[in-house]
Amino acid sequence: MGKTFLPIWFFVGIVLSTYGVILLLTGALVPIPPNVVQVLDISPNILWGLVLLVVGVFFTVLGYKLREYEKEG
Amino acid sequence: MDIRGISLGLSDYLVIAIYFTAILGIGYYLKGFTKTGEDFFLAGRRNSSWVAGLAFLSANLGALEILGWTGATMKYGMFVGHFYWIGAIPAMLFLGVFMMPFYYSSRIHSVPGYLRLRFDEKTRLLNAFSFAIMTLLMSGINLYLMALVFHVLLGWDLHVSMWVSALAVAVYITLGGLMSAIFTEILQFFLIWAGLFLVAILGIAHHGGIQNLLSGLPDSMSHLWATSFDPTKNEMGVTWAGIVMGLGFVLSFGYWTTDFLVVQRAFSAKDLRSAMLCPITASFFKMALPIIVVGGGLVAYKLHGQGALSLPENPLKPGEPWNDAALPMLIAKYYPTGLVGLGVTALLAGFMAGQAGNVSAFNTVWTYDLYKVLIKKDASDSHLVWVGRVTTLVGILISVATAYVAMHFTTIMDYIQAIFSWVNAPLFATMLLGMFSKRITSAGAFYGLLLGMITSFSIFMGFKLGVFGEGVARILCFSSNPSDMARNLWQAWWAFFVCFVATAVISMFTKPKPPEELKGLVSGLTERAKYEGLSWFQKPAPWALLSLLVLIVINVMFF
Repeated sequence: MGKTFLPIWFFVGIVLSTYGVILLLTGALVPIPPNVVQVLDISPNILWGLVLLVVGVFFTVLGYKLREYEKEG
Repeated sequence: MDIRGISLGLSDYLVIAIYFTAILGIGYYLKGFTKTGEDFFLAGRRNSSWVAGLAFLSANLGALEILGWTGATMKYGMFVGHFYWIGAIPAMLFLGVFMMPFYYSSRIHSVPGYLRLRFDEKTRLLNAFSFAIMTLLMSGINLYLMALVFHVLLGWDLHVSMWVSALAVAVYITLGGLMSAIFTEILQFFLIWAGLFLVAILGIAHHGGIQNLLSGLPDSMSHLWATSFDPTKNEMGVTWAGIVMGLGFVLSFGYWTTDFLVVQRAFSAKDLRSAMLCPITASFFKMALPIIVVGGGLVAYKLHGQGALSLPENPLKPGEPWNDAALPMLIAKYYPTGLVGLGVTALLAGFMAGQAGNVSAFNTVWTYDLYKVLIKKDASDSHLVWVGRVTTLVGILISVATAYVAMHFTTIMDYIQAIFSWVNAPLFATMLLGMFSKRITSAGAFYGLLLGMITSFSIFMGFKLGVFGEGVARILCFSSNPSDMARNLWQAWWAFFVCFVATAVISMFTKPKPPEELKGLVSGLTERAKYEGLSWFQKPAPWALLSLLVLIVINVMFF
């Protein structure tokens, strides 16, 4: 067995999940400044953080399952 | 001044830092899989239609395009949708269903490579030179405009922005070649949706939904076609004929079917079926982009009209509001810290992926169509990979140099941005005739293409230098009151027309290549794609039809 080739979906998943966590933490810890227009009842950081986390985990798992093994040499 | 009048927060900087870490890490990771010329220049021809398709779209999806068209929506309203729908989808589907079999089956590395096989070396060189110059100059202009956006909106230093982004692109393309470009383009695709989709949705929700948003707008802003029968009735000053013939046919087909920057992504597909599905897959996502661009632009138009959105002064046109800043200003209005970082990262990723696309297309054309042809005909595969890596670095340096020229001579940008219609509009006529008629000769193609390019250049310069007046404009545009936009659209049409007629006429009087030399290159002499054992939903044509159907529904909905 040679090197493992991870498809782009894996990296997309890792990046989106990380962003999801950062947005969730920011939403929980940092209050929304008064100059930002609040359209939703929920903090957009928390809402979008959850969406990105779910999408990110999906793509991480998908990318890991689609990995390929490449022969050396 | 920054987006909100305050600095970016810690989490915003963290989001941006993670992006840079990710793209550099991806470049380093892919270096281990980039050994041969096929790996470096064609990403190993291993990509699925999804990977190739999203990269295909992303190569076109620059941040400047998104900012520019959002700003243009404030001026032209719903008419901007034409650039995403009729001005893109038919051409993408035509490329996938009809042209891709010729491109992909000939196993070429580049579009100029096809011209060499179908016609001759001089036609290839004409296109390779013009494409290489156009790509690098455009890349430099984009680099400067990117730095300008971040300078005005975030206070970032112009020089630091240009050099940091250029060096990051240089590192990851030099390491991983086209595969790096494709990986980062797909990452950019997701980041654009992750960072910009929500702002449009929040803006639309703030106005009570799409229907409410549209209901308060004048007809010229809220309809696609209803005001296109009289050019004085819409803000763009064009008729439906100009939209269909100039944009929908020549400019759109010229770009999507011949511009190597986007077509190169389809060449990286693992088989013909995936290559054909590549632009078809991309077409669905292209049709969705107006949610961000037109939706965001209309929200900005309404807020600006109510005095609820202020725009900074245009740094290139002092005294005028800068419409291109509309989307970042919406980010400032609706996003708290954290999401602001994601929005800025989406724009940054869009700029850098666009530059990576330009550089990876340039290094392929330079290496295979110029260096290998003119300088070292017997170059080995490993030597070509080395040349590709060096070319990447040189290309980036030329881009940066162009950016500095643009910084000091801003008027030069009008000329550089016009190069696209000089190069691509006539090339579409050459490709169309060459792929679908055995009778077209090498002499016809070369002189036809040259005449088409000269036509487009002459019309542009004629108006620029004041040689042509309103009278000529009225004749060229078939309109009593032609706008600048109408002139651009019809200029492309005339370049196409002259190239088409000249190529056909010269071919009638010159000798065509024998059929055995045209196998796999021309309709009737190329094997049709076979789909044995595949269900109907795995074939390209049904998906192309579905895409066309969605396009029709959208145009009827917003007629």
